[in-house]
Amino acid sequence: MRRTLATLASLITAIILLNGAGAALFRGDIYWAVVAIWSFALILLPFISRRRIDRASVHWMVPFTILPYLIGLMVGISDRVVIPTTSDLYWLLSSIAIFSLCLVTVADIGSYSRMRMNLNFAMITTFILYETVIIVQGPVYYYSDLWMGTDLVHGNTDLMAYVIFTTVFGLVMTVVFNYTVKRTRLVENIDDEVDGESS
Amino acid sequence: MRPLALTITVIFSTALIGLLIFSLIQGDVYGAATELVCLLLLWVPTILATKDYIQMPWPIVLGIALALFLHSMGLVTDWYNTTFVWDKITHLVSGVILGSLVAIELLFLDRRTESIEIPTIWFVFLITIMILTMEAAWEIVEFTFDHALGTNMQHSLVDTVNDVLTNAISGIVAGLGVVYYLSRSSAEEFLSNLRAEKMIQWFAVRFGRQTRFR
Repeated sequence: MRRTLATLASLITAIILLNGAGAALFRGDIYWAVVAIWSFALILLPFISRRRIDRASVHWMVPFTILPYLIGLMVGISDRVVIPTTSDLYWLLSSIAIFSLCLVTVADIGSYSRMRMNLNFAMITTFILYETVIIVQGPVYYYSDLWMGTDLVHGNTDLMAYVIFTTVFGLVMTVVFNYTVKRTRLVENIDDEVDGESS
Repeated sequence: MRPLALTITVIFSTALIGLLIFSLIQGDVYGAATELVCLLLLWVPTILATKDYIQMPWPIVLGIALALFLHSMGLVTDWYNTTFVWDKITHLVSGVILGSLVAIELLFLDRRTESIEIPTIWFVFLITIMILTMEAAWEIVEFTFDHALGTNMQHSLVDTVNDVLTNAISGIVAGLGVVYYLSRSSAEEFLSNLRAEKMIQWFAVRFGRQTRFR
């Protein structure tokens, strides 16, 4: 039952992401098209991988990557930009989406490649990857505006305000997630010990 | 500290002191402060070597010295404002040097902790994203200084985005350089020559035994 629900959730997420990628490409927004395709690849990976590995424990966060596309669909595509990049809503949604994407990516790297990580290293890598994805938005949007006639970035102050907000929010998400996982593992370890003693 | 590394430090210190004196004579407080900070940073590898934390190889010391000197030269000569490529050159050199320092840290984690393994090819990915994160932090610092202290470190949107691109290139170059070096040299021999037991101990305590993350 659980597996069926997970598969159904993956399917719905995948459909929204493909739709989102199409909408982004239609608007000339390469950045969010790539994010959608990247998220879609993460969903596909467990199904197509020849190695039968259980999904990384954080895979439940992949659906968070659809938030910008979901809101975008609800708002409707009438302008070249669905959600203004200077709005708080955009900053918040993009932070959550990109953080989820990076966290799941790092976990999958640990599962599918020969790289091995512990929690501290994984969380730091997640934040670093998140920050990278955030900062490259600047050049992608700037050259998209220059070469493709889009209207995505409106000046250095707007870009830096976005980078600062998302950096701070990303740090908060990293710390909170790290603390939550450590606490959960601590509780699980205590429960295991108690169960061991009582049996 | 090894003689060649110390010689490099002394030579570049002399050059930076010269630039510092020139800035003071010109009344350029910002330039003088920057040169002073560069001078202090230049001696960090020596101080770490003296305290037995790490013996930096001379090419890295040379790279650090060069990056700090180029930055100071750019301010004294105003090449940052008059020569477009100067800013990109300093970003490129700094990025490559920082990439090599990141590589050393990754080697510590890979070779001296139990729960972290980093295949060599992944150094390219990790170094690149680390350099870009440092670039993001630097742009935030520049933006904050400009708005808080009235400096002019960030010139324009074009300047900011091109700095990001330049550092992306420097991260990839550094990563590929590290992979090439590790394919032809012994990482264990390299780590042994660093004599960085104290620093490795610090990393092992903070990143060492933990359960695997997946």
